[in-house]
Amino acid sequence: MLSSCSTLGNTSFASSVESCSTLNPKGGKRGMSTAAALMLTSLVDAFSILVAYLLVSMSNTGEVLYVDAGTELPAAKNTFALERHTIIKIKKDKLSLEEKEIDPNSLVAMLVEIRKQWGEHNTDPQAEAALTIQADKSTPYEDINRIVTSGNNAGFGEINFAVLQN
Amino acid sequence: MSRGNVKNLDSEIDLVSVISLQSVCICFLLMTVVWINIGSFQVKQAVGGQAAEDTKKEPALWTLVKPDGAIELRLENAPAKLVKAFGMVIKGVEGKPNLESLKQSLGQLKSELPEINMALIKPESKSAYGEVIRLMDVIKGEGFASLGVAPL
Repeated sequence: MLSSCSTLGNTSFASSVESCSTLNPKGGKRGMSTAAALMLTSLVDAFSILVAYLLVSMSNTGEVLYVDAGTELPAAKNTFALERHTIIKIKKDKLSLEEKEIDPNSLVAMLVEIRKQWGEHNTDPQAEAALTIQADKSTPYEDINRIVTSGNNAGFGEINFAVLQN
Repeated sequence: MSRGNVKNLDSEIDLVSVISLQSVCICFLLMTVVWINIGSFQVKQAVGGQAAEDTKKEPALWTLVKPDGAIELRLENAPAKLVKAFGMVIKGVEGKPNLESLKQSLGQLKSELPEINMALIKPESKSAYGEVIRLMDVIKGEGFASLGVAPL
């Protein structure tokens, strides 16, 4: 009675186990439909597992870093989760600060300005201003060193290198 | 009151709408899922970051990369016996640092001096950034939690 007056009655199909049985195949009877039956319960179960898995593996920190095409980050095992800090990118001798291409000579001045703004908003006395450097793995270290030194001169005590987690 | 007037309290979930909702969720999550995990390697500027009197006299390992890929190890603020034993040069292999030998030496050092946590790295100016990160990764993997880079 319940199934006849409910929405389930309209949407459910004949049991697939019943129709696919090899011992007593009802599907073999004359006049029976040859359409495959669909087990909605197992489909819902599978979907639920998939949703749960994807929710767990989903990043809830949002997009922190955009890696340009042609940039291959170095890989490392002993890493920390990437946090949102001031990002400096090096790509083929071009330097960009927060996705805006800049003149390398003005880097220190711009970093000093950012550090000043950070100091005005920061309330934690233990916190240190941090910088994230993103570069291709083939970049010579002297280019990285220039940014590390500039960051240090501007008052950034912590330098983070963006890497791929192994 | 007759039995027929009793309201049926059983309810059912409409599976079609559940499946539709889950399909939308799966599509959204598949499109937004992060397949590549990006992490960060935290270092500090080894020299010039703070005043000399603020610097704690704790044991530190200096790792200097030479142009031929050799790694020079130098211990500071440690017992003289260990400074002598671990002051060594690890020869490079095909112009690149020999990370396996470095790993062994660091393991020995860590067993002799467990309180050592600081390692300072001075790479060669022409070293590839990827090689420097690999070197740092090996050092960090051996239990050196505090890493610093020296300016060139």
